[in-house]
Parts: sequence; C-alpha cells; structure tokens
Amino acid sequence: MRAMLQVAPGTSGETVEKICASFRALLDQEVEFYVKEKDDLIGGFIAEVDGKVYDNSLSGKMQALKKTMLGDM
Amino acid sequence: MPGLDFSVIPFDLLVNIANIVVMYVIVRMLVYKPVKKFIAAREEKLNARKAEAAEIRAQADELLTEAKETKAKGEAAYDALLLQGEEDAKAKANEIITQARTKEAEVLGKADKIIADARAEARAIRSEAEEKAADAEANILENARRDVVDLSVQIASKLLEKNISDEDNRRLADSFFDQLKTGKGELK
Repeated sequence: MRAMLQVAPGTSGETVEKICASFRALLDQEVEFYVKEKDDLIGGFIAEVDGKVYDNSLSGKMQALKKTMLGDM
Repeated sequence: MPGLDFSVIPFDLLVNIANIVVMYVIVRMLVYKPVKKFIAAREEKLNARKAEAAEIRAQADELLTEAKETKAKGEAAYDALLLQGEEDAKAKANEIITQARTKEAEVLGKADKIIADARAEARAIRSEAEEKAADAEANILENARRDVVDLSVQIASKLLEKNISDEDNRRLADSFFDQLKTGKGELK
C-alpha cells in the first residue's frame, strides 16, 4: 500500500520513521510512505493512507481552534 | 206831480223818447237777441266744455288711480322680485359656501392623509435605516471578531513555528497514536 506523509520543517528522520512504523502497526499492513516536508504545517504531520486523511498538524489544530472560537463567541 | 200840463211838453223830448223807444226796439231786436243767443250759445258751449272737462277729469282721475294701482303693483312685484332675488342670492351663496366647505374638508382630509402617509413612510424609512445600521454594526463587530481571531491564530502560529522542536513533533505523534488506539483520534 502506498501513502503520503507530510511533515513540518525540522522533523527528524527518526521521528518520521517512528510515525511510519506507528501507522504500519496501527493498520497491520506494509505501507510505503512518500514523505514530503510542508512549511505551513507548523508542527506535527498529515498522513493520507488508504483514502483516509489523518491530520495531526498544528496548523490543523489552529484551524479547529479558530473554528471553535468563532463558533462559541 | 199833480196837474201836469202836457201842452207845454216839448216836441224834442217826444222825439227823443220815441227815438229811445225805437232804438230800444232796434237794439233789442238786432243786438239783444243775437247777443243773448250768442251768450246762450257760449254758455252752452261753456257748459259742454265744463262737462267735457269734468269727464276728462274723471277719466284722468280714473287713470291716475289705475296708474297708482299699477305703480303699487309694480312696486310690490319689484319688491317681491328683489326679495326673491335676495333669497335666491342667499341660497346660492349658502350653496357656494357649503360646496367650498365640503371642498375644504376634502382637501384638508387629503392633506392629512398625505401627511400621515409621509410620516408613516418616514417612520418606515427610519426603521429600515435603524435596522440596516444595526445590521451594519453587527457585521462590523462580527468582522472585527473574525479579524481578532484570525490575528490571534496567526500570532500563535508564528510563535509556534519559531519554537516547535523535533521533540515536540515526536510528542505530538505519540499523543496522536495513543488517541487512535483508545478510539479518541480524529480523522479529517
């Protein structure tokens, strides 16, 4: 299976490898990741695996926070 | 004159007396009768004239009376006409005044309606303007709120960007997978 992994700048190879290993363990499959660095993630990662998107980026969290703040006020 | 002696009476005297008598007779016959006749005729004529005059006078009086009656009738008719005319004029004037008052009331009614409509329209315009102002204010506040949130998120993002480390990234990844395992993870 192929997957896409976008990481924030400054993420080490070790961290990237750990993330990929965690996904393989979670999905219990052999997954080949295409890794790309994306500046606007701020921190964390976004993974697209088997048609599903896993957003663990800080930019995504900031957007969610923004949505919450605008919705609550 | 006792014992008149007619032998001593003068002849002239007798002639004179006879003359007088003859003259008298002549005058009586030639003058007195015609004159008397003339006078009688004149008198008759005069009486006729008098009668005629009296008749004319009577006619004149009758005409005068008739004229006076006609004049009185005319004056009465004139007064009646004047009165009628006056009453007609008054009635006409009253009619005109009534029409004018009706028209005035109609115009005032229309004017009041126009004023009321204008006031209602002004109130509606004011309400609409107030509503729009309130909407505009709400929009401005909403936009300001969004701007504040955007700015806050941008500032936070900038701060995080400068301070995030690899260790932080690893911790984020670990937290994410822990949540996935416990079923609390988020999928986009």
